[in-house]
Amino acid sequence: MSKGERKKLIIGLAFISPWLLGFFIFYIYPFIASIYYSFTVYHIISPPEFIGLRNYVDLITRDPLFIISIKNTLYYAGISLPLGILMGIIIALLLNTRVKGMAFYRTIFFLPVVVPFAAHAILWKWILNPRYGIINYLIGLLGVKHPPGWFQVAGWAKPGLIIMALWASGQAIIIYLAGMQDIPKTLFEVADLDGANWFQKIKNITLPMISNVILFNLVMGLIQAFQFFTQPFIISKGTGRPMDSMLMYNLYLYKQAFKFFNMGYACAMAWLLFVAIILITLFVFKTSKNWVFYGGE
Amino acid sequence: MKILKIFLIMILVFSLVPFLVLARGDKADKAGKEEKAAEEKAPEVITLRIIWENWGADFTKYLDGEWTEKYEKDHPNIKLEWLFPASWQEKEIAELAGGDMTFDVFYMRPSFLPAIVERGGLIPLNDYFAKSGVKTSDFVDATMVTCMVGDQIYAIPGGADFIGWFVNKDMLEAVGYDPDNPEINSIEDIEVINRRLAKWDDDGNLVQLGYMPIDFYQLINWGYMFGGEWYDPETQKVTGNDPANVKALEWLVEIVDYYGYEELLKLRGEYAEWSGASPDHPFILGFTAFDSNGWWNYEILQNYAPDLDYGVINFPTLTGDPSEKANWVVMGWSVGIPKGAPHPDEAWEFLKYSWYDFTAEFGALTINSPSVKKSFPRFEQLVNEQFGADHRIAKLMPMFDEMGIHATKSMPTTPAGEFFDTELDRAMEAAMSHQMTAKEALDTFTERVQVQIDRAVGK
Amino acid sequence: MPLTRKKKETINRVSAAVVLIILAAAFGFPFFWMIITSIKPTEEVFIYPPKIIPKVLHMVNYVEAATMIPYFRYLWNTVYIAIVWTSGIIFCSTLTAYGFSRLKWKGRDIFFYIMLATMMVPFQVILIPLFVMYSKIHWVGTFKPLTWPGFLGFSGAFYIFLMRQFFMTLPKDLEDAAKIDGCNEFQVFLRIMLPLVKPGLAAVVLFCFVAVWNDFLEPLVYINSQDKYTLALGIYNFAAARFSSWPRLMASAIQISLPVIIVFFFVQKTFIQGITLTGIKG
Repeated sequence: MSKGERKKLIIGLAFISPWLLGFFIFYIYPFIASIYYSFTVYHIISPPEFIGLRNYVDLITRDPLFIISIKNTLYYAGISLPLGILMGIIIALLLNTRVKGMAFYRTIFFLPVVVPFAAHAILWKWILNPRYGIINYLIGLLGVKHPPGWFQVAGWAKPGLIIMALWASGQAIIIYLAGMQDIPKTLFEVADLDGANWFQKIKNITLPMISNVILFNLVMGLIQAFQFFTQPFIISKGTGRPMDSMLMYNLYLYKQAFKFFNMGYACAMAWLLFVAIILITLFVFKTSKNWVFYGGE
Repeated sequence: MKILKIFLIMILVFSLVPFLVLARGDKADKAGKEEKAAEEKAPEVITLRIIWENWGADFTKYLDGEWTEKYEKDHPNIKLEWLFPASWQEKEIAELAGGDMTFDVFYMRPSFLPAIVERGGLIPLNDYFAKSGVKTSDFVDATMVTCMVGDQIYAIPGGADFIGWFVNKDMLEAVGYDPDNPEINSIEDIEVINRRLAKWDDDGNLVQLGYMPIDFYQLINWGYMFGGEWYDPETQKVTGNDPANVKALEWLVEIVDYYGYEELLKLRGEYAEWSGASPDHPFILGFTAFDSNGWWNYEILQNYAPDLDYGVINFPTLTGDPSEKANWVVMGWSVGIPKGAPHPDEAWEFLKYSWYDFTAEFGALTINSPSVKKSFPRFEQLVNEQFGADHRIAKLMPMFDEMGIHATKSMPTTPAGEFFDTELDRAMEAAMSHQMTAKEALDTFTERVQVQIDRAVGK
Repeated sequence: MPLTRKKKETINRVSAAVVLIILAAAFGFPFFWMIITSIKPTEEVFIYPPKIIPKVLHMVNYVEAATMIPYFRYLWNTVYIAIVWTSGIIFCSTLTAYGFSRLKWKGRDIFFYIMLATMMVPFQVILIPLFVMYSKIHWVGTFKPLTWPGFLGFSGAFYIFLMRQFFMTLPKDLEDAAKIDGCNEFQVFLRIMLPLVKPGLAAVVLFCFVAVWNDFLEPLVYINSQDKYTLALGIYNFAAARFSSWPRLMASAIQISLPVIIVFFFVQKTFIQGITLTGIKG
């Protein structure tokens, strides 16, 4: 290593040293501990006992709830992510038309993001109340005779959660909007000269130009969706019911750890999730080369 | 470069501090304990710290308000400090795991206690019981059982949740029953009145019903009623698929089928659980004619349904034969001392004071039922004084005590802890939604809980 | 008759505005309903069909909600945690993000990916090892576990990532010019770069505040006395308790949301301007 390189390394490390230090103190020990626990029976209060791979084997071969919680999480991520991206882009496109009162609309769409989770969950529990909720009343006005039971019944609980998530997707909207406003105006001018209609412009200019922003939101959305916890926790009062319909992966993990005291089992779940997220993220990055367009590179 | 050097040195120093602190942790621990001990030698004020279930401010105000005042007045050198976390289980577990115990008193539910005892989280109270002359036979059996693992006592029974059936008198009268003595004593009576009460609107939405049997307390109760058992502590075997329990679940499923499961769920209300009194409880809103609940329910009825004309009857039994009252199941809660508690002796004094010596006073003040049998008369007298003998709930108190006198069954307490309750809820859901038959659901339940128990006891 | 370009554009704009108004109404409606519910008496919310305009303004819900939990005490606790934690995150995320973006050094990307990976481990499993650690140094029962780790970037990966994206978009010439003037890296960072990422800082402040307002698992485990509770914990307790009245809950939800909304209005100009100028590039 040359002198210059070494100097650069030292300066670089110096700058990241606060985080590095935090990483060693707050992450390394808990990570190692939880990897070790995942190979043990660990009831939190009594010392862990080593059992090899049994937690992992049990999870995969004989725990129906593990499978159910994966299905729930995939259901939630599989619908809320594409819908969120679609809705976010459409709203950002509309906002990008330079309508009057832009600041007002931006605020309206962003405001749900700053509502704290607890308030958010309580609010939607009330709006989607099967008997007295305003949504079911409006649905009733449309002539529907059996409005859904939302969080009270198994089939409607997850759609309810997805609606909640979509309502609070303002952060993604703002980021899409930022991406769109970065697109050089000249591109559209050229397209206008070629006589392209608005749909062609969106398809051929806007979408490719914001594809890197879509990637960012997709990856962040993936991580958040796979760790979805607080809203189903508050709404189902920590149970994941009815009929395990709100039993998301992390909620089940939490129940195993703190309700049933199977910390070793929960740690095994955590590391399976970790590997899954890493693999999916890598996959997304790999395939993104086919659809993400980097202007400058 | 000077600035960079200073910066690097700062980071280095900064980085060493936490390690030094971590290394000093144990020493500081000892020093801290000695300090604490020194403090205690002086006749200074001791603070007992208590973790309690969050019953909601309307109830907890009695605990950290009047009761604390009374206790501190009688014990000038002791202060009480209450914590009402939303998830007391998580809080207690974390405190035990941390090892630096700062709490003296733990609140517990039956399913929680054996699970942490199995893992060494509580101080045995046998010596304290013996020293103070408190006998296990002084308490309602069904609640005492939930405080013990084998011969060891780990908690004092706190409140006994004696359950009665609140009835909506107007609804009973409308379908031809005598509101003051409706004679609903057996499962046959329940079936008959359910059919009379059930009502659907023009679109087929259920709008009125009789008995709503969808929480696990109901299944445990009816399992016992049909002659079943849930757990055998001797062999540590779950007996959830006992044929009697299966029969009980089949019967509950029949009731649910009559109404339609989803229809029932839609009526349940967001905050209404078995003992959950809330303004959107179907009983308060007039959807159900019955609510199996304890006497604490009066307050919410008074506040949110002042016009509801209610009475209380005994929980029906299988055939209505009085001998079956022994199969009533009592829920409740207990209070123990965690391992490592800084003031175990003072904590015991507090336990004995609140749930033995003055348990009638505690019950009346905090709207609970006492577990000490000989305190019942005094308790009823206090309730009468407190509310006036004309108060509706004061008149109904004997109905609840009836359960304390007859009931012998308690909530199953297993080393699986809350896993038991959770799985039983799941079994009920599976059976009531017809994903499984009652038998299949309880078989699955038994198998899964057994695995968890074997794991907990290290088999 | 073919439409002229101008007419076409007008039609496009009008229809976009109409769709926007509908969507905005849908997004704003839950707020509207929250406010309406919060000023009804408890009995009135159980009237069917629901009344849009309540008969009388039942403002007492707000008083009750604020006295059911010691609102101002919890507010102060939360604000205290938010301020200390946010300062910590700003200290750590700017420095670290700078090291991850403007400087080229060996192994940088590996550290960066490790940092990103810390986001992917479920928090629930490191909770207990951390709790044991904090318990050893007598931090349990204090605000320290909720505040000081911010200075070392604990659970700050998202903010570091965000700040990195902001630093990346700044032009290279700026630092070259400064270096010619004799500034060292730290001075370049402090004097030249930091002032340019103000919008990013505004975003970090806002998200940090939201995060503190959202978090209830950590306070639940670390806080040991009622008078140290945070608002999130307070309302969660309130909502999970057995007695619950919808109007009171809604009033309470508004009360705990309000401080964050105020912070949002303070930083929104810088924050949205910043995001619009620089964007988030991968």
